[in-house]
Amino acid sequence: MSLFWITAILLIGVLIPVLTERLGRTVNTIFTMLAPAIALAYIISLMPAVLAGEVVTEYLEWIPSIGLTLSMRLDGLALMFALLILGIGLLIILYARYYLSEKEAVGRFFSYLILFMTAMLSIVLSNNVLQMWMAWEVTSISSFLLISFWSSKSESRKGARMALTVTGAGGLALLAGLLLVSDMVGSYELSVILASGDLIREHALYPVALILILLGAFTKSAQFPFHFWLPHAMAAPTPVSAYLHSATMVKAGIFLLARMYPVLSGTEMWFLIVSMTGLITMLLGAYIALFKHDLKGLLAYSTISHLGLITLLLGLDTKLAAVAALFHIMNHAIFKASLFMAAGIIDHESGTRDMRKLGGLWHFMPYTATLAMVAAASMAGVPLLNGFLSKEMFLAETLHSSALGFISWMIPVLATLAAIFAVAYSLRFIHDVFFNGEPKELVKTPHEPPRYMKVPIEILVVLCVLIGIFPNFMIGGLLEAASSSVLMSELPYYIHEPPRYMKVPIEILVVLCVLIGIFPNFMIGGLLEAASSSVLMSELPYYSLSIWHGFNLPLLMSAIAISGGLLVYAYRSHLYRFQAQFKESDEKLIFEGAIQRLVASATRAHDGLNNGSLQRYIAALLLLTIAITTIPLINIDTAATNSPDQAVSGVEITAAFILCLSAIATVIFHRKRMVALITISVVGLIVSIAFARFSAPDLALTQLSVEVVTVILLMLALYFLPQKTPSESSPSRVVRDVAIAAALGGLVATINYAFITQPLDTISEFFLANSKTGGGGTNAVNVILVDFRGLDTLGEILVLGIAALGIFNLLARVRLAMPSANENGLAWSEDRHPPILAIISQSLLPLALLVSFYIFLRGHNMPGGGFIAGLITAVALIQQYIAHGVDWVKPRIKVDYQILIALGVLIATLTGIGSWFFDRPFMTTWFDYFDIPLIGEIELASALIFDLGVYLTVIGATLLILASLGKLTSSHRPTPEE
Amino acid sequence: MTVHLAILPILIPLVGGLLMLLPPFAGVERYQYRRVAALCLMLAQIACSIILILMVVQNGAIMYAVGDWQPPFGIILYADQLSAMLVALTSFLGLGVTLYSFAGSDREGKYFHPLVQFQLLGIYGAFLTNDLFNLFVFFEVLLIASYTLLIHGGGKQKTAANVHYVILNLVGSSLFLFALGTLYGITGTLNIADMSLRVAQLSESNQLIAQAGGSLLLIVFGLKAAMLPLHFWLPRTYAAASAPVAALFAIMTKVGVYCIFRVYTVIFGDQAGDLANMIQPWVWPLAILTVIAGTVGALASPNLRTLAANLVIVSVGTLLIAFALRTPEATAAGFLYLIHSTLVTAALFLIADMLGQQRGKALDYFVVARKIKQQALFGVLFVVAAMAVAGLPPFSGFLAKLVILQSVTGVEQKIWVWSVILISSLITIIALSRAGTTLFWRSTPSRDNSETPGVSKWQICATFLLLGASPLLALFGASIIEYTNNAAAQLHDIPYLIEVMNLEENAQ
Repeated sequence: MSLFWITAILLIGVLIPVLTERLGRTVNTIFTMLAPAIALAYIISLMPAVLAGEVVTEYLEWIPSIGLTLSMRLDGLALMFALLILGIGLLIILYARYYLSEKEAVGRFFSYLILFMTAMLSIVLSNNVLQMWMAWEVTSISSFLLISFWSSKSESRKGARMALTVTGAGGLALLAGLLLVSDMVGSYELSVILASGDLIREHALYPVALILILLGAFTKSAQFPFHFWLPHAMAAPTPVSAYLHSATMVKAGIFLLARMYPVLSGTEMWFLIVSMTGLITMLLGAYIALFKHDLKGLLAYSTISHLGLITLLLGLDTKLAAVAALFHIMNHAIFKASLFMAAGIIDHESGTRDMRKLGGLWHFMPYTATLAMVAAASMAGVPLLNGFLSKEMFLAETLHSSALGFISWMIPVLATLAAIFAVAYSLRFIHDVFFNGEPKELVKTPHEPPRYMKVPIEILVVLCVLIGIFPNFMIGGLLEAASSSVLMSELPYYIHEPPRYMKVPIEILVVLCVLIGIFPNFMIGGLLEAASSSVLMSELPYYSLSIWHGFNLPLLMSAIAISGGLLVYAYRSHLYRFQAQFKESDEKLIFEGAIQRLVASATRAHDGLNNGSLQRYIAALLLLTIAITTIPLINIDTAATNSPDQAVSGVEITAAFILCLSAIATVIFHRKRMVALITISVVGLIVSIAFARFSAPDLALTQLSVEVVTVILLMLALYFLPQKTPSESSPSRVVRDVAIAAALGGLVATINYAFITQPLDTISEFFLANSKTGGGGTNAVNVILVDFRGLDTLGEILVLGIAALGIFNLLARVRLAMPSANENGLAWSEDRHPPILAIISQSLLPLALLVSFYIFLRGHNMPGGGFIAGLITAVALIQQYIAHGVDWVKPRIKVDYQILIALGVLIATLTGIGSWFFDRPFMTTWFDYFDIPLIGEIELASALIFDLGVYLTVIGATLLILASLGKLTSSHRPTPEE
Repeated sequence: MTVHLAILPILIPLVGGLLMLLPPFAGVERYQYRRVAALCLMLAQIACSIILILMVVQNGAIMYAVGDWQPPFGIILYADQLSAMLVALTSFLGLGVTLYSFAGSDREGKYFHPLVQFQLLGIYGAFLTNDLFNLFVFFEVLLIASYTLLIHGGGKQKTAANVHYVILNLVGSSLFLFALGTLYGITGTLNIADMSLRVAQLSESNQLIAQAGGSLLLIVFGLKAAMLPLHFWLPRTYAAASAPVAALFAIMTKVGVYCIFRVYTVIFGDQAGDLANMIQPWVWPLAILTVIAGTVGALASPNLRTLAANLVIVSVGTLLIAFALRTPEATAAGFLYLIHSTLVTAALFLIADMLGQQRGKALDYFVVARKIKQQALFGVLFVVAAMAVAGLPPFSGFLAKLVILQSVTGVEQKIWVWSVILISSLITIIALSRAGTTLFWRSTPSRDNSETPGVSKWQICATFLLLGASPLLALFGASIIEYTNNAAAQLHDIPYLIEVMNLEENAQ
């Protein structure tokens, strides 16, 4: 058996409840309890060793390179927490079995609960801070699921989100803090960190790390000012509240403080922050608790108060204070769990938790009342109960503290004040519920007994404790039977003792309270000692756990607290009246409001920036481009540039002038689409001329044919554009856009000029030199296309093919309105297919095909090639479409263009793959010269097949686009009269 | 075949995609044929990419000279650990997307499966090529495929989003060409490794021109990656795309990020003389702003898809932060985060789609709607995805964010990176918890959901596949982190690249 088994068993235990749910609730509960019970048994079996001072550690590698290991550590502190988590956890499971109604998904509930338990246990057993943090976050998530268990209620959802947000924020701060601490000591292992206290405290970043870790601890343990999430987590089912707010969740923060106590405490900063936070939280919680009408609300604020008390103890500068803190952790867990459960029973059996409606329940559930009273007395710190013992230690320690320097005297005073309120609210819990009249809905008239009649009742409480310990031996059966048979009959609705076993958890806890209160040393002396020594990591200070320390100052303070509490409670109506002047504020609404404001401002910021305007997006892109390229260009030394290689003649200047002019004209006439199309085609024309002029006939040919095809396609597309033109941009917008465009144009020109004036040393020389010998062609451009960079060409024809398919796909489902007239209102010509055009184009077709075939064949050695040939063929076929219309061409050219495209690319690809059979890489070309009779020597090259693929793809793609667009025009066109 | 392993990831989808356009696979009624083919193709690609990883780990990076033209002259494919990893990731994502589409979304328009194959081809190509112009070509392939996939299923919203996407990317492509022209004009080469050698030897003024060209590339890659302020197109585009397409697009931004890592580590990295890490001063603030922009967007999102899209932006910002740190450790951390964020955000898109199917007209908008039928199933899926994407343990997001946080050295950088990443995580948690509580719990009580269709087995299977990777990534974190560390070390080891490329003579 190993400590890892605990986690493993519990993780399996997460699934068990869901799997066994159908077996009935009791069986389900038993199965659910199995895993925690085994874990508890194992922990108990290790107890003797740990109590003897041993630290059980285990280690398993996970991701050692980032310091993430599975590393377990069972020392006194971990033992104490593990016992609380598992022990109280088991009781909660039993309790929940009766608490949840038949309809509810108890399997899911138990699963969440075990998951939470696993995470909690992993926190306390962890010997690696990263692992601990992981478990820490899992508690946040699983508590979110638990709190929101009744997910249909808005308050559950809001409460759960609030808890998740606050503890989640703290968790992230904690991660940063733990990473910082680990950085300081160079390890994530707790053993190493705990041994490096001095190193950490003297580190420059200690304050930062401390604050980050404290943020984690304080948010989790609901310390002021993060306390507000806790009361709203009460929307959870009561078993959850009982568990989360007694032994777990909030105690995780306390655990962290205790865990890091050896390394982080001992500085001014620690004492100041921790004690002040604790003090404020304690007072605030205690004060507010008194005014809560909701039973669970009262308990929630009392929890906050007690957590503050523990925090304060950890922040005091005496070692004994830390011992007291641990003692109180145990005691608080025990009495608070029983109180929550008691509150749950009251809620369950009476239907309300509102103390204004409750009252006099003593008559109906005396047994529960007794239990609650003992527990509440423990909470108040009444002697003979465990709560008294730790509270007295606390009061004693406040007297010895100098944590706040010269104003330390205030600590005991304020502590006593908080204790007074604690007594008062405990009293209220008991009095308002079990006494203080009758339930308000009852027909029975409330009847207040005379003052002295209550004294016997108070004596009975003590008696009832003993009865609670030995119920059967004493008068259990009789009392139960008597009270229910006498009282129930008169009730309009049924309040009764809860099921027998629902009380068992409370019984056990109450017995523990009493036993610890009476025999502290015997019960928990060893455990407390072990836990304290692992927190203090030094010799324990002397302390004694006994009920009676003689008459001393702490006892006096306790006495003041109790009598003061009685007084406050007696005169509470004055306080209520004072408190009523404050406006009731719901933190849940405030918090939700804050989040909603955050969301609203995020939405405003986001929408303001991301307004859906393409112009803005492009402006952003271009402005960034300008910014990022301007800086290097500014720094270029103009003197270092040479003059261009080629002289500029009149031809170039004229062409450049036309180019600029037509580009500008395109922009100016962009609203007159036809004109713009013509001017932009002039740009294309000049570019092709430029290619021809600078000895690039292939490019010139390609550009020319591309130009033709695109203009035709554009005309088709423009035809469908709406006749209305959108409104002009505002003048300022125009200025902005012109400025951006000009700046970018200028930049591009500058970059161009910059590099063409530099001496050129490129790999182009290699292509020229190897085009004939290596590629088998004298036309270097074509050899580059089909050989040197054949993969690029393959990619590009694929792009062309996909584009065609995409356009087909887009247009296949589009129904565009066909304009009946052009933008000037002129109707389209009735003569759709002029005969002259039809005849000429038809007779041109064979000629064009011949030319394209010739261009295709000669491509490898002379200007030409598959791409240009394909375009020429396409243009010839397009002409047929223009001249005769889609309907005429369709039956005559029975080629599926989609297949043509696929075949084309496939041929090109397979040509490339062919070279594999000769043990060459993809696309290695082969060529040879053959002497064929009559024809003479010809060259056969694999590149030619590749080029065939290019040829087919170009035709297929071009015509598919055209046919898709043209198809839209072929249906009946509405006449202007319609 | 193993000799040609480096080009197989490109050829399998190419040939496969083309065959699907031909009989017997073509035709509306033959969709079952295409599905079987698509599944086989995806499995083949995954097998191929796994073999590639094994080969690369065992024998070192692979250089493949297309057309047998040796570097620096021919187009060189280069498969190192980084490329192999990304190819594997992409093919895995492709399998998930393909499976998901079997539920019926592949029949909402023509050519779905061939286009997915071409899309994958373009992405693989971008990851595998070591040639800048070839990279441009593969960019074009993946872009044109993405344009057409984006309008898959049709509709006004998709077309409108596509117009922005296409126009911005056309501008990007033009800038890419400017950049290529400039860099080629100055360095005289297109081979990335060769360019890396030449950049270091440039004269002072040439360096500056190269810097201008290199900076232009950042715009191109940044646009693809959705780096602020080039990210505007993303939320709308991804939210409009049909679910499997949006999931597939989760890798698209990573292509841009990959190119930034590759180009600015190899060409303009530590060895580039005066140009060493020239882009870092730009990327550093923009990365942080990107995270902020994504986080704000996440909070402002009206539906789960947009939320997921904004989380993609957050992930891009986080990756760019990892880049801007300029250490092999941070690079390795970024790679882990890249794998994680791709799979998890993809899964989130799928979950959003399935939730939308069950919520009637409300779709995945955060409004009160009818109750989801398969609450438990989707609850688990959503919680796991949300925890993973927010970086909560024990899933991969936690691990990935942790290694990024750990890789930050220097107090000032720590302040920035830690606070930005952690606060962004917190806000992500807030946004997702609000989203989840509304989607799952705020339901109209009256209407019954007995007529709500269940989601298809294919969809669930695909989502489990992608999301299941998250806990596995964390569980086997040790070996994955070892791999990413090696991949990062290999990326930063320029002499090794030069050696594999046989470019030593030039190095002297």
